[in-house]
Amino acid sequence: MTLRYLASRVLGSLATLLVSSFLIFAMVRLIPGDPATALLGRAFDPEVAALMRRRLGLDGNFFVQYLNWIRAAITGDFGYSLINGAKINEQILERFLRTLHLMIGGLFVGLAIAVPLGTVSARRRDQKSGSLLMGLNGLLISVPQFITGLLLVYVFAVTLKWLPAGGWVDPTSDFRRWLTAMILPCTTLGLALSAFTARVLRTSIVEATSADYVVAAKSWGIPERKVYRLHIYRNAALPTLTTVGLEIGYLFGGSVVVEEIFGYPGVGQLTVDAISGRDYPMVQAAVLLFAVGFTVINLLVDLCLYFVDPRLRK
Amino acid sequence: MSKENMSKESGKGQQLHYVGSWGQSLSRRELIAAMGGVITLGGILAACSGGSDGGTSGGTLVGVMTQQIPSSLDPITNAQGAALNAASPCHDWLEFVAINGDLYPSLAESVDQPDPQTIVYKIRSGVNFQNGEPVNAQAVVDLVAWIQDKNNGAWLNARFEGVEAVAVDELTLQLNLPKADVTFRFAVTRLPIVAVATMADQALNPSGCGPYKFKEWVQGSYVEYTKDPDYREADRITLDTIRMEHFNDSNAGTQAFLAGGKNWVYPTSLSQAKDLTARADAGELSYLPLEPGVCYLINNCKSGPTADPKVRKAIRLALNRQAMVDGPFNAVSRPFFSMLKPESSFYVKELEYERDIEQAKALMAEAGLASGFAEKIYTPNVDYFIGLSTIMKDNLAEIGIDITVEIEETAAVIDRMFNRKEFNMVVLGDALSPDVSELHEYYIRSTGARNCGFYSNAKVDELLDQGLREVDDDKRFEIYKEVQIISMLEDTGFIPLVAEVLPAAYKDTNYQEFMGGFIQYIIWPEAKLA
Repeated sequence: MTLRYLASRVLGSLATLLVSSFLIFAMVRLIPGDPATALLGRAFDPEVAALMRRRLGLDGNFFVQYLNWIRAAITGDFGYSLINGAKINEQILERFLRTLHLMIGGLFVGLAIAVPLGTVSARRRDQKSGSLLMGLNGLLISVPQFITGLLLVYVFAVTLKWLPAGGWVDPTSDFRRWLTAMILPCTTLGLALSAFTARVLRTSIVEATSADYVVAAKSWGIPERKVYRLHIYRNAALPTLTTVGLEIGYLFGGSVVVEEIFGYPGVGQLTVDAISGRDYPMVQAAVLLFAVGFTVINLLVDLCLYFVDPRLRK
Repeated sequence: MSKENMSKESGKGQQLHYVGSWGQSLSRRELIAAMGGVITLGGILAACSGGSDGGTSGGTLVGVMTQQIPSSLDPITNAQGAALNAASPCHDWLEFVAINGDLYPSLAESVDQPDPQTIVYKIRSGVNFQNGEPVNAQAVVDLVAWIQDKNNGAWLNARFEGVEAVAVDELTLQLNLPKADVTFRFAVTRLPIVAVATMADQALNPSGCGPYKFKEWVQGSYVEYTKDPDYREADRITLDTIRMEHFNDSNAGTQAFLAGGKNWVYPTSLSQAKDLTARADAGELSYLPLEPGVCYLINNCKSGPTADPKVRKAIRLALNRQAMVDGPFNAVSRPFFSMLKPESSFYVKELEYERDIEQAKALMAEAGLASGFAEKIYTPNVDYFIGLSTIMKDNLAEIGIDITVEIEETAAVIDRMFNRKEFNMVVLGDALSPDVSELHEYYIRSTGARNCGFYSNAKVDELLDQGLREVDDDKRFEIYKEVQIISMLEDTGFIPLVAEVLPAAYKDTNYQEFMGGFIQYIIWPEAKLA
């Protein structure tokens, strides 16, 4: 790998993050309403709201506020919540780790379904079973997560009473209950992920199967298993890897819906609540975390592809 | 898998294949891969089946609060009901409002109001805060001073402005009000009594002098309290632990309750009203459509077509409240014509009227708007508010008003109404008050804090002043009757629509009063009826 390639990708990512930070800061303030409105809610009193704005430092110059925030953010200090005074770094880290649990679980479930589904449906593409699998795949793609989640809750929690309907358990205090509580959220997240990944994997396998080098390999009498292992799966892995990388970013976004349905206290739920409460510094930090997450994942995918695909190294 | 379905493949590898029900052979590797996800998930499911537990066993009460996840546990700096609900087990009040709307003395053993500007509380002796400090008159004086300090951001700041709090002796507190206000005791019920020294910690680590001690808050998930053995009457506490779990989505919260292990859920989704009613009829649970608020329509009384009282009156007469009850509220609400519940002793029956499209059309013609006009109703993104606005759109089309339902996030609607005041018509709700004056002071008085529709009537202001001075209930009734008839019927400065119903479901009738998080009714059952 050349140093220049690495440096250009890292610099590009940093520039993306800097622009994102300004847009995030500006957009949060463009939302109608402010922390004082949210704190008072229906008990709004203009006099008290004005006092609150002054106390929360919301009456200063926009650019000065941005510069102060970004300067502190670069050093890793995101300040304190306007609503409850909690240290934002600690809140975000705690919530992010929980969301990470969810994402890893979702990724595991997603790949566990997508790889066999994509592979089998590609190899049986001319048969009824292949069409049926792709029909199932289409169903998974078209059903929104909140429907899948509520349906799973209804079946496994309300009707069968096998699993809890939601909530969060500290894994260090009760690992079994934590695992139990994670099944439905991870499955909801994973089902959506599996649908897209399986489709990409199937298409890639089908394309690779008809490639010249595969036809040539078969004509040389190389066993089909070996052709699949050495040529088809390996080439199909490239677009699939890119998709999975992007899907990890999607998992971040998808976790917002899943966390809402399952009452799971992750960073997605924190962001939604912070937006409702107009907790500006919390929203800024959380959304910036999403932006960093996306950027880093894209960077890692680019680097992985660089290693996996020899054409990129030429 | 039957032996008939097993075959040998000819050629290199001589691999044993399994024939699936679709007739296509699968290698062992493929079969394992295909089943991998299912086996893993199934294994975990089997290991964890029957895993949901909880409930009242061991003296724990588990409730599900939905719709709003508290972002703070400090009800003094955060006016959201979620903060009060989540923090109430560790708090106590000088007086609190009983279920029938009367005041029930709690930390105060007696209350005297010798004149409309003076309230004297006699505080119970021997009560301590959870941080060990004594609860006495000076502690309350210090708390009032903290609220009055504009730098502290207490939401009751404006209500306590000009109030002089005096510690007459160790346990006697006197509040001298800046003007006559016989209803100020209701404002004091909004104030949990806490030690000023703990104010900085209240948002994350609440403490007061209530029956429970704060144990843990996993923000966004649950808050838990344990019995305080040093509570002033600890033997009254029957439950060791109170746990409130939070779900933003009321559908999901209700499903969590139905899944088991929870004692109650509040509020449940209105869309599940029929299912929950059926379950209640089958004896599975109890269902209680609580009415904590009133949904209303406010018109701009200063500009636009609604500045004309005839137009506002026409709008009022065109609205079909029963359709609102039957539609978005799934028949669990009821029409409202006042800011008070019909059961209130200050309720005025004369405010009720029938829908009258012909009269409404005549009023539109009188206002010179026989051909109607186009207008927007700003609506919070809450299902039942959207339902109300949609029905109003249909109703008002009958008198020529072409309504566009503009849906915005609730906080944005609140900002539009109370901060920017940029609207001609807006729908929202507010909490009902047992005090007849409270909502009228906010919405009807020309200088009222929530009078966003610019309603103004000197006669009404004068009557409201009289109401605050008058101590005789019969005379107060007559005063507020006139206020309501002028403001609601003649001027139509405020249009109540229906009860804002938030239904609760619960499994233990003993704890039904705890719905909404207010533990005091369990500790003091006699307060239910005051």
